[in-house]
Amino acid sequence: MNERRNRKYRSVLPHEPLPKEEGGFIHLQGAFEPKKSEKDVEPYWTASSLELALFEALSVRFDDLKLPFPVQSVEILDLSAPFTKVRLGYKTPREAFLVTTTWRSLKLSPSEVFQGVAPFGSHAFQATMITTTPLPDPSWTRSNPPKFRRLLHDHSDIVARSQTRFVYMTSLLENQGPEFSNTFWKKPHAVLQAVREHIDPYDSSGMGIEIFMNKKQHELVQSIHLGTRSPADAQQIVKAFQGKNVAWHYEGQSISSGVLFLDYATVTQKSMSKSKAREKGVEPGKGEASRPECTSTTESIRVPGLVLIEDYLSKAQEEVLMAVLTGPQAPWAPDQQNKSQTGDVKRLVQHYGYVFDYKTADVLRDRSGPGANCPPMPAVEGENRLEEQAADGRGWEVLAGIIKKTRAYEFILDSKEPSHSTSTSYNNLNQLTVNQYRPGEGIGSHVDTPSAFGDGLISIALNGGIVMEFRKVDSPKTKKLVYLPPRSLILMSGPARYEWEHMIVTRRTDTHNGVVIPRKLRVSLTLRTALTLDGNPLPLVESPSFPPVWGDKAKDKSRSFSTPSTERDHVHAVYDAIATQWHHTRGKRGVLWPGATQFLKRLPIGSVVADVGCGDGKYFPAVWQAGSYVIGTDISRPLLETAFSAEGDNVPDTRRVGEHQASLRDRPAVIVGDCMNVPFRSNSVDAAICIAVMHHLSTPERRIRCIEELVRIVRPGGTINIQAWAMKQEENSRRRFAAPDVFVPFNAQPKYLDKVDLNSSSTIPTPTDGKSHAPTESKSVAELYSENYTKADFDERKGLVVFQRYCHMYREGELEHIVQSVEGAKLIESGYESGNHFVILEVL
Amino acid sequence: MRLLTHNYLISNVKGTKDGYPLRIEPSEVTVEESPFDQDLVTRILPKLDYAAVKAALSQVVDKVEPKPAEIPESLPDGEIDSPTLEALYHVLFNIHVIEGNLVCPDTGRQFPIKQGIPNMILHEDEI
Repeated sequence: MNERRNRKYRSVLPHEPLPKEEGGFIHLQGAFEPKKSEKDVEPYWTASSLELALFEALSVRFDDLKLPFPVQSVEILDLSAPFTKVRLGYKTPREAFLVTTTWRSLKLSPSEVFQGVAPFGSHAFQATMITTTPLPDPSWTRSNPPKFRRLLHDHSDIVARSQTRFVYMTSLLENQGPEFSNTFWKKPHAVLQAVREHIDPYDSSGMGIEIFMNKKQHELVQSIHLGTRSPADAQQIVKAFQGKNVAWHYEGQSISSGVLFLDYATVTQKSMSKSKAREKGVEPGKGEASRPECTSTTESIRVPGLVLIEDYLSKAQEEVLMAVLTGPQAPWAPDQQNKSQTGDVKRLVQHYGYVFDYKTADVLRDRSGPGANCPPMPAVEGENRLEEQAADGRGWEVLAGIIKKTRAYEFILDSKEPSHSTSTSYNNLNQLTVNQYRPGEGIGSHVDTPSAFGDGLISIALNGGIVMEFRKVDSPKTKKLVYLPPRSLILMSGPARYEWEHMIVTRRTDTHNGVVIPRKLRVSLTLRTALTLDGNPLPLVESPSFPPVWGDKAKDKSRSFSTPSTERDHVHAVYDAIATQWHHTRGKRGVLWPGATQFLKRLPIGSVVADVGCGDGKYFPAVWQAGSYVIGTDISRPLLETAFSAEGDNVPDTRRVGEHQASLRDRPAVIVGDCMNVPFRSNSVDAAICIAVMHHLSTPERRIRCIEELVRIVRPGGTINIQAWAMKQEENSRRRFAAPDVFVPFNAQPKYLDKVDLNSSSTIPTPTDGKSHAPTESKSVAELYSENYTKADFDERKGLVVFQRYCHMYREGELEHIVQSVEGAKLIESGYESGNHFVILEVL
Repeated sequence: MRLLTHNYLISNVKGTKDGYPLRIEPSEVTVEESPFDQDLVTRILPKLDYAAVKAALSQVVDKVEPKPAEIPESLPDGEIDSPTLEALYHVLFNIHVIEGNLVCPDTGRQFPIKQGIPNMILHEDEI
């Protein structure tokens, strides 16, 4: 007895497998105290006499007490009264385990144990299994259990998935009520026990598998985490049980599990309050990602008429559509008119064909009525050539083609019952709504107004996947969660369209099959059949010209060339802001397009050259080296000022100038001017270059105008070199442009950012020593900067401000085609070089 | 802004009949010597509007120190002698208007020059 007393015991934690040792032990915590009424009576129990009495009660009369096994040993751990700690020994750990669970459910108290023989109280004992085996993981205790999160299926967790020993298991029980109340209802240990029976064979280590259960599941345990001893065991278990139904056994009862779902998990930092963390002197850990309800919980629910078609679009089609619908020509871009933002919707919305008014929740049938102005449906003639058009960046043609394809598509309903399956198509789709959901945005629960739209609502998802919730109208507790992956199409017809509401919850994550998926920017194309008041399809309003021209926006005859907001915000303002970094990383390095330098070298010595859109004067040294004089104009004054900056050491050859030209270099001739109105007299300069300017002009009229100005200022017989970005980049280039009008990001480092003066009166001092500076207040320069400049994004991970530059990429032949519209000059050379198209003109 | 550069600049404000040459109203002028490039100035001279060169010089000369050498009334035909070329080179290349205004002879519209850079951007209503 004494030697046992000296061993160190500890509680077996709820998640632990049964200890592997000789004998099983239970710790009883309770008050072997006389009743209050008998307080004054001298206690007549000693430790040993109490031990004997207990032994007798628990070994001889265990059956009367409804305990499953007889005790083998009893030790009182207190040396003197009051006696509160007892250790019971059983033959095996399993016996001890079962006694403990029974004891807990029976809530045995001293008076019950002694069955009134002795005057003890009726406060139940606490029975805990104990063991001498050491804790497998000392950081986890009863008060500090591990917290789990399921591992994502994206690249960030792929390695972790093959290396983790933790498995998440759910749908343990079919959705049944208290029918099985006697065995499993409110008896989590019973479930665990039943589970153990099935999973223990997969333990290759002999140490047993841990089972973790969320405390909140005391009524019905549906999900658990398993801690195997090795990733291999984890993988075996997932393989063995995934998607299966299993029979759980306990106390002679047999219950069916649900369709088991398993996934890999990892332990996360338990989220700690800041004060507690300070107390402990540690960093407060981040809480785990929120875990919204998982789609797997509604796996078995069917919504008639709901059809999901995955991979409805190819990746190329998705890419070009995204480029067109979120790029500079997006329907809600600043320069677009007749934007569809109606009602209180937060997400960006554009209607085509007919406007849906969110205030009245009805279609505006009279297209000439107030607020009913919207572009026609995109239409395309001839056979669909979707892949070809996608490769060529023709996003609107692709959109028109998709609409055409969808009108002709045969949807199979009731595909699970082939004998009943019907196919149907929706030839009268005449309304398109393009929605843009930023992460966190959603749409309220609704049935689309039955009188506004006919049967057959179709939604095609681009870029981001999302979980859509369906609720049956007359029994809202009946819910269906469906994950809509990108490029998928979902059809709501019949009951799905009329008898179920659909919604997207406003939150930043979704859970699909156990995986937490963070939301991305999502664009959806919703195609519907808008109806007349009689219930017939409204006439189709479509047009094959792109981008769709809205309403009665007449062509602006005045040919005014004031700066469109796209260029103001995404070209001029960007270059103003990034001027210093631009000069340091592009200008100073002296990397020039060979074609342009060749052109300049071929000029007669002593030419006067206009560099329209000269930026930081990158090409000036090439002109000076060729013995000529250059006057540069640019719309960005900050950029022009960098042309004056000192060269420093390591001047590249392209920028080296001789003694004679040093003065030219010290005072380059630059002018702040707009290429729409070049401030030079006509027929004056000998030549002009216009490099990397045309791709920042956002309309065909402006592109023509720029060339017209170049032709005007150059004397007859003089030449002009124009160079602009091509859509088709070189094979090994990092760049790929999905559509002609795009935003090209520029990552600005905080140390280079110039003074901000765009939306506020505050300015941020420019660090002049080239080092990065400590943040003011609690924000970095970059964050402060991007806050002031509302068009830029702040990349938290890299600490960079990301500017989006508007660019129009040129297709083969496009520059030549524009030149044809310009009088007074002829094309003498054109071609493609290093990702650029170029043209050389001679003025007549 | 050099006087050479000035020779090319016009006002293209909408409705201007003749926005050339722009009158210089200097407030700060600097002179910076540079190696005489005879070849360059010889080739460029014929391309310039010489009357505008003379006018520009007269508009800035008060602020020029030291006073520049005289330039001819009109450009001689045939070869120009070296001293004249030097004087012309000096006037065209070495005189820099740092601060001031360029004024349209027709409308009086002022285009500011700051730090040697003229700002010729038109306002919304001038396009």
